[in-house]
Amino acid sequence: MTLAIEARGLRRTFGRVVAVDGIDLAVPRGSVYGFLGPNGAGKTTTIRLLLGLLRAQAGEIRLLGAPLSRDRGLFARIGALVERPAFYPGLSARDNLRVFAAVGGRRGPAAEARIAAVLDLVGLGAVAGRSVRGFSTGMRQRLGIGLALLSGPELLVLDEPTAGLDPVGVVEVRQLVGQLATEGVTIFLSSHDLSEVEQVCDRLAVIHRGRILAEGPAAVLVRDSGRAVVRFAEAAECTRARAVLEAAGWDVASDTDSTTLVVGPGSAASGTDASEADPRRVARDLARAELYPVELRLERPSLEQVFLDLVADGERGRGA
Amino acid sequence: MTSLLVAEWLRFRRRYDLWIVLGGVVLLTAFAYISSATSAAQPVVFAPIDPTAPPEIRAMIEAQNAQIALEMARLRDRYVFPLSIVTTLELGSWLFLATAFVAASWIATEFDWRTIRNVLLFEPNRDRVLAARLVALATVASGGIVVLLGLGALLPFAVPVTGSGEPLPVTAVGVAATAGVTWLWAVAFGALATVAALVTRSPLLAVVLSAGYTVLEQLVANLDVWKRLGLDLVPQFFLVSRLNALRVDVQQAFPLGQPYAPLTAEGPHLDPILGLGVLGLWIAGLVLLARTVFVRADIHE
Repeated sequence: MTLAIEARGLRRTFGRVVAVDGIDLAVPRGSVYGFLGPNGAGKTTTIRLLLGLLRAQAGEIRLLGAPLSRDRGLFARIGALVERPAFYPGLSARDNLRVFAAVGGRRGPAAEARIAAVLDLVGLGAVAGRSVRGFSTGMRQRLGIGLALLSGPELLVLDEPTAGLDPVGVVEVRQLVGQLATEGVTIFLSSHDLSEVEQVCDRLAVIHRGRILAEGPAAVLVRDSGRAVVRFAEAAECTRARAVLEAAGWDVASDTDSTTLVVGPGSAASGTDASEADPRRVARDLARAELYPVELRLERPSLEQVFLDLVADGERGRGA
Repeated sequence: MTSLLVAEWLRFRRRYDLWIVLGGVVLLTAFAYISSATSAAQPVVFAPIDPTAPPEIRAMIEAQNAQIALEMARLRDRYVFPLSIVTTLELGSWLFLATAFVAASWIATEFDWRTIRNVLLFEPNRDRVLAARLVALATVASGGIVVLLGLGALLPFAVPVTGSGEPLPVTAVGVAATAGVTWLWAVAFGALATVAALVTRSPLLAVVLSAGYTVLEQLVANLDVWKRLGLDLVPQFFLVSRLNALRVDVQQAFPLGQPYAPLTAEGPHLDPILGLGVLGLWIAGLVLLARTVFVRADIHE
């Protein structure tokens, strides 16, 4: 698997605050990689480290197979929208893109054609000559995305790309991300919007307080959190079942209801579904003890619940 | 580098605030020239000589009046081409303040507007980015000098003044040296403001820091301690003191005659060539400092 972004042991502190604490990242080429985390988790700092805007105090970074350097050739293959888009207020949308194209060494008819194409792509073709000073937040966001696409990048780093957009704009950005992904562009998408990540990303990492809490394909992260919910007719059965399942190595918790158990994988799980409580195996362990629940179902949480659980676990881990 | 300079121009051409500051130098210089030339052109009126005075007294007063009229005419020479060019360079010598403001604002607003982030994503080589900006600043200073030279050449025709008729004490080398000093002032203060802008990342604070340095340097340079310790020459190595000394050096090397009483240096004075070298080191040092700050800077914007 070739990687578009490879980071090992990234660390950055600001005074006593550890913003990024030994992060490892491996973003496969051609993937849409979600980078999830609550506000202040370290998402933007990580992105700034990846793009060389901040200096890492420790760790290594490789982008598109090359070590991070201040080489224009490397950055010509990378597009980025970092936090709120920033532009020269006195210049038009077109002139802003002209400036940055020139900074990147692109001038002439080809650059002009690319600028026009990008402005059309983000829906700003009709207002290309207007001063950015009068642009709404959504228009600025669109222009920021256009700027990130200006060089026709192989790797696109988007930090909260739908912030400030109206619902139509959000859908358009998601469609654009999907379209770029089908064209083979690797997209590293940072967000705290779970539905956005769930809809467009095929792989994701969850960051909290500068550390990666979980990483992997989005579907696996949800599946890994699968719990078996077991309900008995009587509380006594439930109590006995709990002892049986715990003896078998399952991670068992009582529900609010005294007749219901929530069974997690624990050490009883094994094989490819090691992190999910397989209801068939739970049923088998219960049947061996002649316990027959009135209901047994697999409950997979939403990505949102997984995210909240991971963050809560992270908080508990720090507190411990 | 050409593309970076094109980008600088695309940005600068819409910075109307900077154009106003630079235009202010031109307009105020022209205004100062016109008003002083108009004033100088007023005929000198002498009080009538008492006809009852003895002839020898009358002759003495007439000779004195003629001498005063000649001195006044010599003063008007500064508004006669080509000495008028030196006059506009002198009147517009505060171009250095405008250049410092342009440097502070042009650089610090990149941080203020957070556009520096985009710039570095398209050209991550910070040496090249800084070099382009410094070249652009030097070009602005050069443009200012050219405009002042142009004013000096044109204004005598707009405001004609009759001079003494004597040969004008001006040479092409002298004009070039005066222009060079004015340019060096602008470049040195531009470099100082560049460092201040990169350190503070705020246009206002950069201007305040540059001005603060200048005041502090003058206070330190005027301390008695240098004389008491026999280190009179030390302040001569300071930036602003050196720039002032350079102006003296040029006026002494290329005396411009009566219209300008030659400046005199107080206390010990560095050899002009050595002084120029010291100034070169100052400018190089400021550029190196700016580079170090910028290359190592974390971009949070």
